[in-house]
Amino acid sequence: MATRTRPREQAPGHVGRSALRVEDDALLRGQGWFIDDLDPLPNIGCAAVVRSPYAHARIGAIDASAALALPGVIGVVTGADVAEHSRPFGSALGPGIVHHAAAVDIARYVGEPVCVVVARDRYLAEDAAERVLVEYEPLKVAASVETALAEDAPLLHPALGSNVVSDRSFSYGDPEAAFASAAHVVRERFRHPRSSATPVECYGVIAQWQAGGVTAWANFQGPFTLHGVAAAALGIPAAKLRLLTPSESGGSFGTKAAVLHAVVLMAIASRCLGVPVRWTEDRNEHLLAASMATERTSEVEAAFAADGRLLGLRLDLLDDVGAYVRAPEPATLYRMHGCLTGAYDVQDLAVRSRVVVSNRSPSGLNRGFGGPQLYSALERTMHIAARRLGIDPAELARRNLVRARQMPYRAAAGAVYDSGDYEACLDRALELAGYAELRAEQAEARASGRLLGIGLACVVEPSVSNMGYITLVESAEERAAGLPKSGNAEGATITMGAQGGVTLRITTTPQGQGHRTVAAQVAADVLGLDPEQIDVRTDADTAANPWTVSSGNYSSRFAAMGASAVHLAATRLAGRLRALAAPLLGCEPDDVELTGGQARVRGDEERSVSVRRLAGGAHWHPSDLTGEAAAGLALTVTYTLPISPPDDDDRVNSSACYGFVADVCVVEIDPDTAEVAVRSYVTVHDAGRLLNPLLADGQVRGGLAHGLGAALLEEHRYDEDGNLMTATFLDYLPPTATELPRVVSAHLESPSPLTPLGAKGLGEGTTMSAPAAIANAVADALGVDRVDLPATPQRIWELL
Amino acid sequence: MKPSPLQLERPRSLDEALALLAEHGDDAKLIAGGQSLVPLLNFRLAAPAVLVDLGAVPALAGIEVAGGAVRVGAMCSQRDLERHAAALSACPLLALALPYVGHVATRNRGTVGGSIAHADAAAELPLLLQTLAGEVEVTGAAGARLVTSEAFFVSHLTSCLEADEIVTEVRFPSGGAGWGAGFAEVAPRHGDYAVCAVACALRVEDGVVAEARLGAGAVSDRPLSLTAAAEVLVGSRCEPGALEAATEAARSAIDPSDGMHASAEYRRHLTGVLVGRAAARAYATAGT
Repeated sequence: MATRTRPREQAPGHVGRSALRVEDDALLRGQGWFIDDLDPLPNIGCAAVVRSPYAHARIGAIDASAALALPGVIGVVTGADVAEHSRPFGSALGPGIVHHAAAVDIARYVGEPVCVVVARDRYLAEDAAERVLVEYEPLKVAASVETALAEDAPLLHPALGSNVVSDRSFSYGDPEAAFASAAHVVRERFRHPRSSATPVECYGVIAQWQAGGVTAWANFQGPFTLHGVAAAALGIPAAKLRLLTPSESGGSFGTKAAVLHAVVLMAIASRCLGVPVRWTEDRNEHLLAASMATERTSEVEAAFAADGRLLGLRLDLLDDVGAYVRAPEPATLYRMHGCLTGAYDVQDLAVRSRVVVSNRSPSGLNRGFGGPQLYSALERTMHIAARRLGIDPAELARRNLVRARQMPYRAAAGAVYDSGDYEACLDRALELAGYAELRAEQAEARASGRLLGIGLACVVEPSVSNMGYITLVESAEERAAGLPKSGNAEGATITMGAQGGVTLRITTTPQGQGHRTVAAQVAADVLGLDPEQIDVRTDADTAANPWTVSSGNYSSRFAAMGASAVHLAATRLAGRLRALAAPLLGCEPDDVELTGGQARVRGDEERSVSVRRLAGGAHWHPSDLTGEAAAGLALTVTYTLPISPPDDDDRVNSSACYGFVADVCVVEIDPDTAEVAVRSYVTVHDAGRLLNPLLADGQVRGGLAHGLGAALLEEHRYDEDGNLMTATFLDYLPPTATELPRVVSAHLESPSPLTPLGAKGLGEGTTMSAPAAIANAVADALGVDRVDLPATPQRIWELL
Repeated sequence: MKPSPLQLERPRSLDEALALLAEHGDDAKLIAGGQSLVPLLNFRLAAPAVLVDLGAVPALAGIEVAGGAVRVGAMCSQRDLERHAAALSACPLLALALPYVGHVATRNRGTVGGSIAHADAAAELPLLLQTLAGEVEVTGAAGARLVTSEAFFVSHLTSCLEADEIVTEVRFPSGGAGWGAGFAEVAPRHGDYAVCAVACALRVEDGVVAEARLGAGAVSDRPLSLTAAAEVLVGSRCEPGALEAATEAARSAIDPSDGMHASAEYRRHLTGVLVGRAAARAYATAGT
């Protein structure tokens, strides 16, 4: 489908307009309902968690007597209680990795829960927690990738015989031939450090055990696959774990997938103590133990022809997932699998994907989820190759980009890029950046000793993960022996009341992205109403919502799946309205159009009836209705994009939709202080049709903030004993407003042929591209190949 | 993190505050703006049984320029000082350095006295006080005394204050005619504690440096006067050779430590760079 350039501010309907967010009024007035505002039950106890101060230790006796003696303390729950009342969490890598909601017998990372103290309030609970005496027998620690891989490394999970808990190799096409015929081979190692996405609000849980089941409130973001994991751990049927989410969340960026482990822990505490238990995580706990992005070690070998054509790639990827392999890990390693070749047309690919455990905080979803790790290696390789081949990086990219005429394009490892014109995006980015003028300025700057650098990144941004991709950890034979996994479904319930007001219920569990606003825009267009007449409920309740295991807010799936489910539900409702209107208007349902709150005959505006009247009639006088008109004004749909599990050749379309991002970044480095200033940042996106350009722009800028943090500021560091050195914001440094550069953002639209609105996800692109673009710019400024992330002034000074 | 149980006292006068300190001794801690103390309380790194809030003591308010100094009541917020035209005019280094002290929001609550009493070697106000050879008025049961900056800052986060003493006023010397100021800082992000900071004040007569004050922060366990480097500048016109010599003298005089965000060597290098920049700016603005 054709590519259009933005802007499209004069869209005919509500979709495509920069509608202001309906969420904002309440938020700005302090009237949002967050997890900590909820008080749904009487007699809720407050929990404080006693955490292991050792990275690896055997847990001995636990003496809680002094804690229990304090007034206001309700009880203390230990690992023994957790072992008695739960099963280990299921993991994609099998039962050899025993992971409970609290440490049982052995603690494997600093911060791992050891006990839960419940008291009348959090202050008392912390007073009591200080008085719990735990005996620890420290064990040898492996707190880095190097020590975890060493010959004499302590084994975290002895049943697996190695800290490398997964080792899979893949080959597509003929990489050996490609490398044999190469004129140049570029081979480099890269390290993408640990980070975490730092939402303003941390985890919050209220859990109650009652009558063999659990009711829990949590600021959970999905994927709802984890609901089943939590229920299984609790030893109850999934239908007996009722999970509710508040209407507001203070951000997540992936981290609030893992809150379900805390739900399990607090549910066990509730079971043992007979009260509902509330746990509100603080920042120190969140940085220490919530959900970090994996540390990725990559070795990239790229085979080039003399003219710069990329002939083949070998990738050796190693993810450190921390002390346990918490579901959905090792998804960070496999999320990008189908599109490991990125934006380039190269069909010969060899991959080795390994997962290592270490005595560090367990990893999980974080914005970008595998994308930043991949592209900080792949796009850096392209930049290094450009230098070595003597080709301008933009030209090298251009020679290798997948072409628009190749869409839909089947990538080597199985991704099917649905649409896109990558060259047009790159051209636009270069044009907006003034690339030719920049190179001229750079030449002059170099002559006068200034360190000016230009960095590019071309990134394919997948959205709507295919649940099946994780089964690549198994061989084709192993997969054949089990049940296949695939899919991406999302649900929506729509109802129209007797006065014509519409309520939508979706399980997209937004974390601040503005789903209510966009869902109302989508439904309003279909139904011919104003968005104000559409009430969108995004607080979720597994007992009442339309949901499936793939529901949730992850892998940027709302624009393609949530919005499409809304579109489908509204379309079906519109069909009911047409069926109600047709006999009243004396026409066929297909001749009825819905616009301006009216149902009218197409081409004859005089013949119309208000939607409000139709709704009133359907509710108050349904007895004469027949056919579709009698079906009522409430319905639930499930929307799904057809997608397959991995095939026997280990190819998988790991996501449903693929966008593209082309970035041009300019940095100047102070040659005396080594400080880096990002002078400008141009980013051009193609995420298909934009449903709301204002919100899309917010995602681009927010994604850039995360990406810039990873490039220049953020790194979680551990000492050799496994202590986290960055457990507060004194030492872990997300960017503030003053660190963000002027951003020039533009959009092209290559609508997805797959979704009814043509939209694709757009939430992680600049998080994936910016670390590479900025690192490339730094490398360009300094004329070096190796730039370690984050490129802090200390690191840059060492390169000068 | 929640603090340990504590009792909050809010005295209405300096005498009442001193009486509380005398009564509770080591069990009591003073709280001013709380920007440094409250996190320590929340982490339970400090667990005083009694917190004495100075916010209602009128004697600790007020800023005046008198007797060759900007005299700042200890409980004045950093933001109030930042917006005091007369103070900034009398002591231009304050205008240059205060924007680096945290962020506007923290400066609204953080106090001048609190920052000085906290004695962080990477903080801007202690650096300014030390560079300008300022004074701290300390009040105890026996009355008020003036302590030089040099005597006040003892070590890492440690001042000479006794448990029953309160910082009541901070005095930044004001230069008058002929003085110029320069300030340079490197921090991971705007508002963060400095990785290295340098303050410089120069009095220039007929283009020649007549007096020089130079200090560095975050390169020792206390804010440092770089007296040898300052001496190098006296009698010069801050020409490249003089700046280079001052830079070398500064680098030789310090013994920085490795830190999370910067190594000792990098800090030593930065000190030299920032001495050059701060001195150049001080020279350029002298006499204006």
